[in-house]
Amino acid sequence: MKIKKYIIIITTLIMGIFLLFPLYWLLITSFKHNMDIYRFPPQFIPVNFTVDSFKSVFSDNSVLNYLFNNVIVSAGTTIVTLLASALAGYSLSRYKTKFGTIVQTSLLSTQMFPIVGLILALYVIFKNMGLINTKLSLVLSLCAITIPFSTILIKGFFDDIPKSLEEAARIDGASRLRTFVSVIIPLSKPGMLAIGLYTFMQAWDDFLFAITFILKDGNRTLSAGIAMKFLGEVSYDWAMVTAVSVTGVLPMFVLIFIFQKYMVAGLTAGAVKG
Amino acid sequence: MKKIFLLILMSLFACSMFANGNKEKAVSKGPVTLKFASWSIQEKGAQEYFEQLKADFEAANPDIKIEFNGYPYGELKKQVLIMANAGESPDIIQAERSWYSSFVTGGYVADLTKLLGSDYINDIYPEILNDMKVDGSIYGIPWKASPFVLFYNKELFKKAGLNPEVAPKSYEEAMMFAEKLSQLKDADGNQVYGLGQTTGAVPVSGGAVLSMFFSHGGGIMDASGKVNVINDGNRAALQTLKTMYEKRYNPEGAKLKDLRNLFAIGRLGMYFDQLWGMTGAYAINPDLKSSVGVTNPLSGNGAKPGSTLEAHLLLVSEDSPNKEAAAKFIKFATSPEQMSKYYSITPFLLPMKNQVAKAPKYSSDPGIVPVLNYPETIRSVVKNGEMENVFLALTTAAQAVTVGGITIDTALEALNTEVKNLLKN
Amino acid sequence: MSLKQKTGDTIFGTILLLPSILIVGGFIFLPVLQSVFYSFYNFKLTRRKDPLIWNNFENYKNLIDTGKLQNAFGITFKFMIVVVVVVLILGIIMALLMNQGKSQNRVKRSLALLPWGTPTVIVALLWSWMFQSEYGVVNFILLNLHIIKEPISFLVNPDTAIWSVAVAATWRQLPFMFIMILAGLQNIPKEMYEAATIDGASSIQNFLHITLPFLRNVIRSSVLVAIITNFKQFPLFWTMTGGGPMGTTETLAILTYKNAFVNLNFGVGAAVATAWLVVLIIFSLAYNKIFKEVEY
Repeated sequence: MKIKKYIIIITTLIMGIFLLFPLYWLLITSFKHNMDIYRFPPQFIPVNFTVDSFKSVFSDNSVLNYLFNNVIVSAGTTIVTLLASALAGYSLSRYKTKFGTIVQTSLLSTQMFPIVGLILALYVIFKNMGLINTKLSLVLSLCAITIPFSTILIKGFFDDIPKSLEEAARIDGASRLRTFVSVIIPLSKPGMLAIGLYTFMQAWDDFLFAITFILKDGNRTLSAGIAMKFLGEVSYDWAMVTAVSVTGVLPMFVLIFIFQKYMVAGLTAGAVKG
Repeated sequence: MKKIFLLILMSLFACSMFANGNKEKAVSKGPVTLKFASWSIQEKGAQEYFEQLKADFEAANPDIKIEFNGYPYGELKKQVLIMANAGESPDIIQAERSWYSSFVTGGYVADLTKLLGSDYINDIYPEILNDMKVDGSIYGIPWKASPFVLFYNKELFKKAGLNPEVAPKSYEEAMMFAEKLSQLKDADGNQVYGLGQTTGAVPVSGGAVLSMFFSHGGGIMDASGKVNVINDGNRAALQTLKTMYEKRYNPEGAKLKDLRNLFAIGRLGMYFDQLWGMTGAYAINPDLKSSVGVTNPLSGNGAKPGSTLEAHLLLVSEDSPNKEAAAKFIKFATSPEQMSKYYSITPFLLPMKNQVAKAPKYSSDPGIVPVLNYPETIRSVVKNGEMENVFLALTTAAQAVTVGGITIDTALEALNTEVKNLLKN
Repeated sequence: MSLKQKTGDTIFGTILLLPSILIVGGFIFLPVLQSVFYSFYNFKLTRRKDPLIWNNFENYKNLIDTGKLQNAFGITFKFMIVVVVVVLILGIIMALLMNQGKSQNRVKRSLALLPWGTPTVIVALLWSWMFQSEYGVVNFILLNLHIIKEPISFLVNPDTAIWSVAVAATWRQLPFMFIMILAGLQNIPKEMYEAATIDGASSIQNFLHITLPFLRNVIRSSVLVAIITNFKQFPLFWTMTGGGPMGTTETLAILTYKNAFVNLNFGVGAAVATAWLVVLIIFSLAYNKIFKEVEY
C-alpha cells in the first residue's frame, strides 16, 4: 500500500511540474531585466527583481484595450454560440429529420478544413458586408468555428432529459417554443455553463482571424496585439512579451478558478454521455 | 453526382454575388488619403519618427492625408495579398527584399520608373538599382539598405588577444579568429561562439546562405543564366559552414534573432547580419554600442566578396487610384532630410548618392565608415515568384550539411533539383 | 400523432436549425466550397486573374509527384497520433489521481487547468524560449539531472524538432482532456466499484471492466476533438519551427500556407486542404463506426 502511495505522490508531482513550471517561468521572466533573461545558467528566482516591464506595459492603455476587446469578442461569441447551438441541439435531439442529420454531418465536417485555406474567402465576405475592422466579424467567424461542436455537446444534454417532461407541458397547452424555454433550458443550465466556458476559451485563443480582419490598433485583441507590438522584425522584446502574457493570462486564471466547478459539474450532467 | 455539382455551382454563384458587392469606388474630390501598410511604424522607438514624418508630409501637402496600417512583420505579406485580392490594396506597401519578386510577378505593384522620374531613380547606386530592375523597369524603392555585414565584438577580440581595430578580410582569417574567440568563456563559464551565420528555416536566412555562396565564388546560376548550384564556390561555402558547425563556432540552426541575443550578451564574437539587426542587440544591452565593430562581407576561397541586397522597400500598389500622390510620399520619405532623421533612430545604409552627399554625419560615423562602399558587394538575384522558396531551400541545404550530417555533394544535388523545379529553369 | 402536429414539428425543428446553418454555412461552409472548387483550377493569387481553367487535377498531381503531399500527411499523422495518445493517457492518469479521496480540491484542479487558459501564440513563444539551445531552461534542467551530456538544439535538430512541438501541444491540450475525463469519472456510480470489490476484483480489473467502459463516450468525443485540433495545428508549428529543420515539421497546415501565401499558388494550397478534408471526413466516419461497434 505504501508503494502505491509513493507512486501516486511522485506521479502527481511530475505532472504538476510539467503543467506549472512553464507558467512559473513565464511569470519570473517578466520580473527580470533583459540582460538577465539570456543568462545561462538561468536564474530560477530573479536576482535583479524589476517591475519595469509591467510599468511600460501599463504606460499606455493599449494592452488594457486589447484585453477589453478580447473579452468583448469572446463574450459575444459565447452568447451567440450558446443561443444558436441550444436551438440547433434541441432540434437535433427532439425533431429528428433527414435534413437535420445532413446538416449535422456537414456542419461537423467543415471543422476539418484548415483556417488558412478559408481566410481569403472570408475576408471578401466581410469586406462586402462592410464588417472589416469590426469586432462583429471576429464574433461571426469564431461562432462558425465553435457552433458545430457545441451543438453536438448540447444535443447530448437534451438527449438525457426525459421526453415525458415536455409531453406533460405540451398537454397543458404550452407551445413548442414555450416548452423549450421553460422546461428544457432550466434543466440544462449546468451543461450550458460548461459549454459556455469551453466556447469562451476557444474564442479567447484566436489569432488568425483577429490579425486578418482587424486593421486598426483600437480594435485588436490580445494575441494579435502582442504580435503587433512586441514581436518585432529585429528582435522579440522578451521581458515585455512575458509581462504582457502574464497580464493577458491572469483574467483567464480568475475565470478558471471561478468556473471550473461548473465545468466538471456541467460535463458530468450529461455531455460526456455523448 | 450531377445534383451535387449543381449545388456547388449554385453556392459559388452565391459567393461571387457576395464578391461583386461594391466594386466601384466612389471618386472623392476632397483630400486624397494614402494607406501605408508597414510593420516599422508600430515598432518600439520608431513611432515618434513616423508620426513626425506624417505631420511633416501633410503640412507640405495639405491635399494628401496619410493613414498608417500597421501589421506584424511576419504577417504583412499575407495581409497585403488578402486585401489586394479583395480589392482593398493599401496604396503604399513596405516590403522585405525577399518578397519583392512575389509582388512584382503577381502584378500587384506599379512600375515606378516613370512615376518617379529618371533623375530620382538614377540617384540610386547602380548595383542596387540593378538588383531592383525587372525587365528594365523598377517596382520598388530601397528605403533602408544593407548587405550581410560582419559584426564583431571588440571587447572579446581584446580578451582573445586579437587586435580590436583589425577586422578579418577573408573567411580563412575569420576562421582563425573564431578559433581564438571560441577559447573564451563568458562570466557564467559558457563557451563563446566564434563566428555566427544564420541557417534557421526562414527566408532571410536563405539570403544569408546565398551571400555566403557568392562570397566563395558560387551562386545559384551559371554564366549562361541556367540554374546550377553544383560548383566549387558553393562546395567551399558549405565546407566552411560545416567546419564552423563541427568546431562549434556557430550556434546550430540559429535565426538572426538568436544570433543578435547571443551577440548582445557577449557569447558570440562575430556574426553576419543586416546593419539594422544591431538594433535588436542594443535593445538588450545598450552598453554594447562602444564595442561593436563592423566590416564588409568577407572573401572566401579568394573570391570577390558578395551579398544579396537586404532592404526594406517602398512599393506602390497597382490598384491605387492615387499613384502620383503615393510617389510624392515616397520621394518625401526618402529625401536626404527625412533619411537623416530616420537613420538617427536605427542604423542602416543609404541607397542613394544624394542622401549620402547631404548627410555628413553619416559618412563620418565610425559605425558606417568601414562599410561605406557596400554597394560594390551587392549582387543581383533572379526575380521569380518562387524566390522565397528558393531561399528556404538554401537553408535546408545549410541545415543538411550541418545538423543533418549529409555530405556536401548530396546536399548540393538535392538543392539543384529543388531549385530547378522551383524556378522551372 | 396527427399530421398537422407532425408538419408543425418539422417546421419548428427546421427553424431551430436556421441560425446555426446561417452562421456556419455562410462563414465556413461557403468558403470551404469555394476553396475546394479552386483546388481543381489554376487559381493563382495574382492581381490580374487568368481565366479559371480546369487543370485536370494538375494541382494534386504536382503535389503527389514531388512527394510533398505524402510527406506532409506522414508528418501530420505522426504528430497527431503521438500527441493524442499521450494526451489521452496522461489525461486519464491525471483524472484518476485527482479523483482520489473525498476532497474536491478546487485549487489543485484549477491549477491543473491553467495551461488551457494560455493563448496558443503565447504557448508557442514560451516553449520555443524554454527549448532554446544556448540559454533555454530545459537544457539546463536536463543537463543538471544528467539526462543529457550536451545541450540539445531541440527545435533545430531534425530528430527532435517535431517532438518538441509535440510537447508544447501536449502541455496546452492536456488540461482539457483531463477535465473531460474527470467529469466522466464522477459520473460512474460508486456502488459499481463497491460491488466489484466485494466480488474480489482487483483495482486493475475495476479499471478495465468498470472505469474504461463508462468513459467510452467521453473518450470518443474528446479524442475526436483532439484529433481535429492536432491535425489543424498551425500556430505552434509556424512560430516554433516554420516547417524546418530540413522540412521535418512541414505539416499539411504549413504546406497549405506556404503554397497559398508564400508562392501565391492558391490552387495548390487549396488542393492540400481539400485532400486533407477528404481524409479527415473518411477518418471520422470510420472512427464513429468503430466506436459504435464497440458499444454493442
